[in-house]
Amino acid sequence: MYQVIARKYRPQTFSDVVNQEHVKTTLENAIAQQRIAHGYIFSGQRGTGKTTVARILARCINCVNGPTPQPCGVCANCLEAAKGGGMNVIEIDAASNRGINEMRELNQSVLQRPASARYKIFIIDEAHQITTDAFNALLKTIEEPPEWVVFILCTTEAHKIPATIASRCQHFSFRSVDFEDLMARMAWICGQEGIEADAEALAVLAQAGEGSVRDSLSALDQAIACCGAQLHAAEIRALLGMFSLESLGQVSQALSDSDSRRMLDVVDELERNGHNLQHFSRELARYFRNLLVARIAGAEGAARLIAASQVQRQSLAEVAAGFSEEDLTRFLHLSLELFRDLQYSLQPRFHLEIGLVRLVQAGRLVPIEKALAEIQGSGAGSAAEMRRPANSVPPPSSPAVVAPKPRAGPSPFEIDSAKKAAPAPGSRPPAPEGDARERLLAHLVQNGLTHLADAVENSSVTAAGAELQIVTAKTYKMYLEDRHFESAVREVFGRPLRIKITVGETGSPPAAIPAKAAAGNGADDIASKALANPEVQRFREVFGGEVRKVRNLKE
Amino acid sequence: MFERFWGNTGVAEALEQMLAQERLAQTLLFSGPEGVGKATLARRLGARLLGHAGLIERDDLSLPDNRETVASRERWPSEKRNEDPLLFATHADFVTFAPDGPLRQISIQQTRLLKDRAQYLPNQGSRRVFLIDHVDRANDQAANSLLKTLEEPPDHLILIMTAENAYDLLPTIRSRAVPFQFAPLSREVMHKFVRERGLDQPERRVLLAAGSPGLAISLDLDAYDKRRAAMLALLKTAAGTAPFSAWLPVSEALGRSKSEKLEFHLKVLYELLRDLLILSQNAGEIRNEDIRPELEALAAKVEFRWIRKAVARVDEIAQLIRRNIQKTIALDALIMELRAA
Repeated sequence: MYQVIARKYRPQTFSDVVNQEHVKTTLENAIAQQRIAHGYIFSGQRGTGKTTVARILARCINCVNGPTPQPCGVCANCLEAAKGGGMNVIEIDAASNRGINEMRELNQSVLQRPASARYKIFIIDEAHQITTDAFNALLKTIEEPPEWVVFILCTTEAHKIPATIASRCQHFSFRSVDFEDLMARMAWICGQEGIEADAEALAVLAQAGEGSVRDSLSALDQAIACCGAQLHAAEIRALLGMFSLESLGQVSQALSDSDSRRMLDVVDELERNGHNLQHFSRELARYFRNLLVARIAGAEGAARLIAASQVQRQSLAEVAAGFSEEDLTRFLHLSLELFRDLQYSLQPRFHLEIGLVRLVQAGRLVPIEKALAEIQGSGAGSAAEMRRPANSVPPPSSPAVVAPKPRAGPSPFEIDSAKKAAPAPGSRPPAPEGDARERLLAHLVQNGLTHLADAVENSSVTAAGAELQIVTAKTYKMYLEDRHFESAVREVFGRPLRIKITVGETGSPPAAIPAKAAAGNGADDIASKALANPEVQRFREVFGGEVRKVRNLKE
Repeated sequence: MFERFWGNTGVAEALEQMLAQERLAQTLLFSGPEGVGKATLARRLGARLLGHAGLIERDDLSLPDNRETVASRERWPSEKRNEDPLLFATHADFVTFAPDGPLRQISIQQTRLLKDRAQYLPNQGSRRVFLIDHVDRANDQAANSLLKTLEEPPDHLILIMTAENAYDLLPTIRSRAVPFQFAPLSREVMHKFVRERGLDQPERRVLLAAGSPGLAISLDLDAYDKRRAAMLALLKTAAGTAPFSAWLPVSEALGRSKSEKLEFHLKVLYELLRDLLILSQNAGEIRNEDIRPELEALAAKVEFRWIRKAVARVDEIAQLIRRNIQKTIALDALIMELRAA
């Protein structure tokens, strides 16, 4: 049976282990000085050698040649440790034996002497999965185990080990593996396997592992399967779905052209080539980070802070020059948000599309000086356009197309423009008479004064000089005689107006009140009163239907 | 070559190479969108190693019988499910572990059983193949308990995992497997596929399946149309082009039917929103080509910001579904919020 490379070349001695000098030296010295602790915790990211070192340590301790940093590797005890467990070296999968009962069993078996070796070694892998109860059950044993017992706890999540356990053990944290050392190791493995790989190909593989030896070796397995005995960087990059600067450059190009359509094409292409979209969004965030660094740090700084070749840095700097620092910060922020959204997305493609279009729509910030100059040049009218960069195409779904709906409230654009137009400092808005009502309405809706908005909606409003003439139904009159309304008017028109309210027919009468609401009849009077209530009217309008009966609760 | 396997030739060839060089890794991870053939390829690979393709194909989870099995277990009490973890093994040496229970998760009981079964020698021949379908559906405990087996499986065992998104998995799982990324099928291949299977309304199926043959087959167009009509009513009401009363009957019908899962509706809703996005940007083709005029009218009414907000809210609902929220109230609230926007 074929064994994957990561298993076949699992290091058998300390010298084979890539990096982790701090762990290796300490352990070797401890063994040489016969100072073997009874508890160790090995923690670190995946694929950095925790289980491997645990097994090597077990061999060193149990080898027939006495506790030695150089185990023979051929005696029964060494072989037992290498294959992951037996009578003396007991490897426990804590992820499936995580409960208190398993720990009780463990406590029992600790008491028995080793079958055939010096020590009984318990390697507890994935120790972060042990429950709190189970950990506590282990406390006494792990503090003072019999002289023949060594515990080695391996975990990727050291913070899940309780402090009481950690304080009883020696803790070694494994570091991510250095790029160069990993490449050297992979080159050696390729030599052993009879595979030709150029340096760049190995670099791509090492990069894909992100500091984990096993990840890189899994990728190497995949590469050998696809490409055979000759590995080339370009093929491997395509295979692993890595993104070259060019494909990411398309995004920045589309951004600088404000071309949201191109963004959608980018996504389409990614999907067709079977790229993982989440991976792409991560690379995109990294790309914007690099652009930002290139923009801020200059040539020398970039060389230190960006992990890329000279040529790549050059092209990054060129792209970055086309954007301002603020833009890049914002793009970085948005792309990070996009990455987060994609992580839990059921529709990654759609989310990526909407996120990229959002980048375009966010557009570029206009420097404040320029914006101010524009205001002075063309008056407050351009305030609404300020958000939009001069070179961007207006969104096709321009709000101007929105047909005025009789009751559905103002559109966000209207609210926005009302907000922008009203308090503009220094320049009094000309207040065209026609839209006085609209602006008032927008202001009221925005401030949550819906009852007033309702009243205004059902009245005719005309601003004439210093007077605001309102013709409204009787029911609304008392709404409008209110200081909230007065202050709203003051805010909208920028000055206090005399409000003149007349009761009478308005242009748009409130939704039909049944004709039978004649005065004199008590029940009818109440019915008409109830139906004239703006809340009731609103209800009827939203839900439709007819009012069958009105009941006076006082009766 | 793997017979009658559509698309993803790169992956199929790589596996082919692995077999030819006798370098087939013991732990494989197939990732890619729903229905592109991950489990299918796993079964074909199993058949290549073990023979008896017919028996193995019977464990296809999309077959009505198997769907029924999983659905009926949903009604079991959880103790009973735990006592009898779900697996399919029509061929004794090809075992499929699939998500189970009302939440469709892979449980720790299943992974424990897997660890047990992994130790058994093959019934016949020299290998066994385990397929863990939707390993991204394994909860934290179950996923962690797989780690040791994935890293060092017994010599006779090949473990194949499938997941829609490899990055959803624990990094420790990802690092133990040799990964293969599946892509959606190209339009031409999809056309060929649909034609060969003789499916009805081939054009619509190809459009809606978005490169996924599994979806193209399983797509129930009538149900889809019904859901789409409901979601279109929702969007229209939310965009303010229809009164709230137009939504009420739809909402009530949704609330009454116990069997209709909201997930399916949300999926359709996402697709409609995506079409709106495409229309509003004048780009590319839309999935629901047959109702283009309606969508165009809607797209003219809404802004990009509105679409984005809608998507954010739908995301929220999709997450809350797992907490068992009231579907009608959630959708009503969605509409009200979008109307106000």
